Amino acid sequence: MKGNRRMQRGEAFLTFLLYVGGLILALEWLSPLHDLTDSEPFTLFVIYAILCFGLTYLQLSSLISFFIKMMGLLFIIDRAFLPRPVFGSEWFEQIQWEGRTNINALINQNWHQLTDLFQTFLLLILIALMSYLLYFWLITMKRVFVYIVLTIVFITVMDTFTTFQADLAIIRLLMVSLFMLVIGNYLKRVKQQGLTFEVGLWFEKVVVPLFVIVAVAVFVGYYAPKSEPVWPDPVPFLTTTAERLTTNDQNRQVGYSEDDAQLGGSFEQDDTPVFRANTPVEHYWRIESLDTYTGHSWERSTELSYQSFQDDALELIYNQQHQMLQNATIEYLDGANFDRLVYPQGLSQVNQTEALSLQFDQETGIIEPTNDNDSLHSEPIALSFREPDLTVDQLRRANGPTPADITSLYLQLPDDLPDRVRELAEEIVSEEPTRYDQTVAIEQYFNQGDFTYQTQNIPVPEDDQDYVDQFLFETQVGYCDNFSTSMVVMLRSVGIPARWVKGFTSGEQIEDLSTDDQEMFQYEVTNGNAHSWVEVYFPEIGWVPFEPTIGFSGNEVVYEDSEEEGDQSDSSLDEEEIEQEDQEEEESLAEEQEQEQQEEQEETAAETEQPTSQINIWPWLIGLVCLILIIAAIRWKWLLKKAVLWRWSHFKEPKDLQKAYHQLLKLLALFRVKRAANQTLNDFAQDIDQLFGITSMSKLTDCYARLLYRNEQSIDDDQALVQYYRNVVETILS
Amino acid sequence: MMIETQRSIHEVLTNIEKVIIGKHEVTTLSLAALLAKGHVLLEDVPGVGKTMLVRALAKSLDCSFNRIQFTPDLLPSDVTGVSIYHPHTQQFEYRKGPIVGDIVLADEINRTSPKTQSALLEAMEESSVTVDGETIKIHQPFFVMATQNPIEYEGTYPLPEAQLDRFLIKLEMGYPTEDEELKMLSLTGGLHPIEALTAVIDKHNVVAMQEEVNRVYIDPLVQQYIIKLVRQTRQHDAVQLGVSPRGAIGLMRVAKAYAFIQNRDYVIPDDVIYLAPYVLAHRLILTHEAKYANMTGEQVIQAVLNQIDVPARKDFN
Repeated sequence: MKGNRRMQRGEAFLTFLLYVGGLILALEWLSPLHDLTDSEPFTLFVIYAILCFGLTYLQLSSLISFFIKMMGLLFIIDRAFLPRPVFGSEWFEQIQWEGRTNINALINQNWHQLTDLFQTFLLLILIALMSYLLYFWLITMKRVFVYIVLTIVFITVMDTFTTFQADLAIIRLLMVSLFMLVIGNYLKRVKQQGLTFEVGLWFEKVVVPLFVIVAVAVFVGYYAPKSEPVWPDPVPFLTTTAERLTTNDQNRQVGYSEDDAQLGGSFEQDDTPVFRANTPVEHYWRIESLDTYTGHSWERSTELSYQSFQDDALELIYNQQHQMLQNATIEYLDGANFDRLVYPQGLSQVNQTEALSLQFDQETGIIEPTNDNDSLHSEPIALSFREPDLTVDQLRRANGPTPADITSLYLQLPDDLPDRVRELAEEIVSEEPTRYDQTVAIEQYFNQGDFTYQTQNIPVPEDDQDYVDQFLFETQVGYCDNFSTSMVVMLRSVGIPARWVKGFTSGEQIEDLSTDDQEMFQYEVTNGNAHSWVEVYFPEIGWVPFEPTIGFSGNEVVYEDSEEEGDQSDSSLDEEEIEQEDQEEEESLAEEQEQEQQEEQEETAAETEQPTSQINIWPWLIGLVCLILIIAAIRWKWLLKKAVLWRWSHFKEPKDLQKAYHQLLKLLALFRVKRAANQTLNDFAQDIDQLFGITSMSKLTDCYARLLYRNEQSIDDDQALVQYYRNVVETILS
Repeated sequence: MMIETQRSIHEVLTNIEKVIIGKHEVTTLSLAALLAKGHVLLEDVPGVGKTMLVRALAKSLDCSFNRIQFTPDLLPSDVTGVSIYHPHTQQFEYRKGPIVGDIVLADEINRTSPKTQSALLEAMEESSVTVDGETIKIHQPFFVMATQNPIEYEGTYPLPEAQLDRFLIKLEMGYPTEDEELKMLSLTGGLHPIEALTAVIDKHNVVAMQEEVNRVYIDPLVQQYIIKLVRQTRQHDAVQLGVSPRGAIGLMRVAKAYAFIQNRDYVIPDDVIYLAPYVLAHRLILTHEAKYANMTGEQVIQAVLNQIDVPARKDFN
């Protein structure tokens, strides 16, 4: 009696451990959330999950448990989403609004319009349901394996298709899974074979080897050398394949790339952060320039000739030494897949350490680590720069001769450039007296309303088409590459040396680090901020940046501000005002454009059923899996029954009957009774018949026994057998 | 033919049960042993109907019935018969002993000397007796049912354990239940019920049935099962000497006969499992430790049955 009680206690303890393992795995399901959302709601989710699992384990009356779970759910929702005070007027308004929005979204099936509150609500309900489901699965049925497999699949899918990193999660999973499998298996055996549970023996025979195996497996797995993946990352492959199947455009992932072999085509928005920068002023980040336009791509005509980077070595705009040095730091993030320095206009010094020495190419402005082993990613880089100080007047006066090495490189145009491009450019600049005015005229040409900024559905030029020609005369929609390339080509066609520059825009300001004596802001720059613009050569002044892309600003601000400050009494005050107005217009336009852009993206996403943002996948993924699990949990008997009966609609040969009979034995073992290996079939069949009040099992067994022990080689009346079989299966699965 | 024999068997059993109340199992097993050409050892206290069973069996089968009451002074020749000098022919003439018969009751064989016991056992095993160098065959049906009092009774010569192997089956009658005993009392009075019994079949039918039993099919699967059981008895901790090959053959023969009685022309593992304790238990010689622990052969056989998997799958071509 005493032993019995101890045995039951031991079993209860193991069952509890099993359930705790289930909870830990459930938390692994939630852990991608932690990476993809803020941490505060995540903590609440975890607490809620623990609450639900605890309540379910305690097996309180279902009404009480339901009530507590609902209260917890409402508390979390209220705390995370609704305004204070509770039951205040704002609170009610918010609830009304949420209700309206979500009901509308549901009715219109606009799933992406569901609010965060509603999505969280669904998630919490799923967590509560999961606690029930796992209780049934792990404690009642003692079935562990399927759950573990599902968890591993989920985690690996999240790892592959989202930014979630599952390295540690996999290790945790491995450990917990092994423990759960062992405990589950042990409990099952105890139940089935009536084993006695002795703590000491169990400890010696199961726990110790288990710990050793887990430790060894984890240790070996963690420290063993791992080969590179055999397959390439499936995500880009899948997306490109899917796009090739659905559209004719070739989409590209936005971001800086060293390769511009192909201009044109749409691109996917990608918000992966590339670097973070602390800088006192907002400005673009330059990486390199390219000189040769082929009609389809940008190339470099010169070989890169590196020299070591000294202070002020790279002078894009000459004679700025009088300007004050400003300090900035750049920290590269994991998202940066290149190893070139991003730098502001007017770069003066870079803090080169022992671990990092830099070299640069004069022509393109590429700055790279000298040694292959060095990386810009290893630590934050401090640099200083001078904001260029130019005035409009200065630029207008810069009409001297252009050096030959500049003209030879930067007036290049493809031979088959259609004449209408040149004609258009000449028409635009015809009224303008100076190089500066001509440049501004071309820059402003795109702002006149004919052109639209758009990243989707951008065609790639055909072989006999010119990229610029296509954009200027046929499509008139495009993104920065279209605008900047077109401007360079038009400038060159009217004899103004210009080049195409790649880099990033200023990014999003995420923090204000200003102190009393110095302004300092932190910007986060993502792949989505990758950009291209134009530099125009002015004799004795250097390379001055221009921004033709509509909806973008921030590059010339430096230049215009300095003009304003430096030359207030300038005769072209009127023009300046106009420009300022232009700029304001530009900004408001930029906002509109941005909105349009977003809407367009959403529409396209809805059409092609591509998720606009990867973060939104997970609740639906979890939901889907849970739905399948729930359906399986509710209807599994029915599904199983159908499957078995469908499989055995007739028995042609003794082999068939043998297979079917043993499947039936397994089925029986799964649900009610397992035949002991030393029990005869007839004996077992009688037990079954008695248990369920049928006779079919004995009849079926009799036929099978004849095959076995009488060595009968054929089945006489297989339809009768099928009927018996059906009876038994339906009885046990009803 | 089959149906007819089946009816005959059924009639024999009901016939016997008119006399032996509530001993269906013992009756059936005895008949099975007879059909398997084997002999039965009945171990029980006196007065539970051992003699009645054998007489009823003999009567139902229309066989001759001899009874040998074993006493300490019984000589082997009292069992096998003797050659005596015949003055007229001036030759020795064999006079049949009681063992030469169809159905023989060897009552209380553990009361006689080992010498006489072995004479009986040899006759049983060989189905013949040898007197003065002359071998006399005993024809089928030849069925010996030996009884012995439980060995702890005083004044007994326990059968040598090796000799027990000669018996195909060892049975215990056991006391009847209260109802059965009451029924017995009500039946007693006037004519003894055994006198009222009539033959159901004759000797020739019995021999024919024995032939049919031989033809009952036993699948290699079941044969393997028997062999596994028997071999496992030799591995068991409590066993000093396991079941001999003779035991395996015996088990198969009884299983066939039993299947035949059950109206089946093939043996199933259920038959084997049911019969194994009756056929195998008395053939085991247990270790002293096991004996001190009051372990019995039946328990060992049961343990062995639990250890061996019943064949439930075969390769169909």
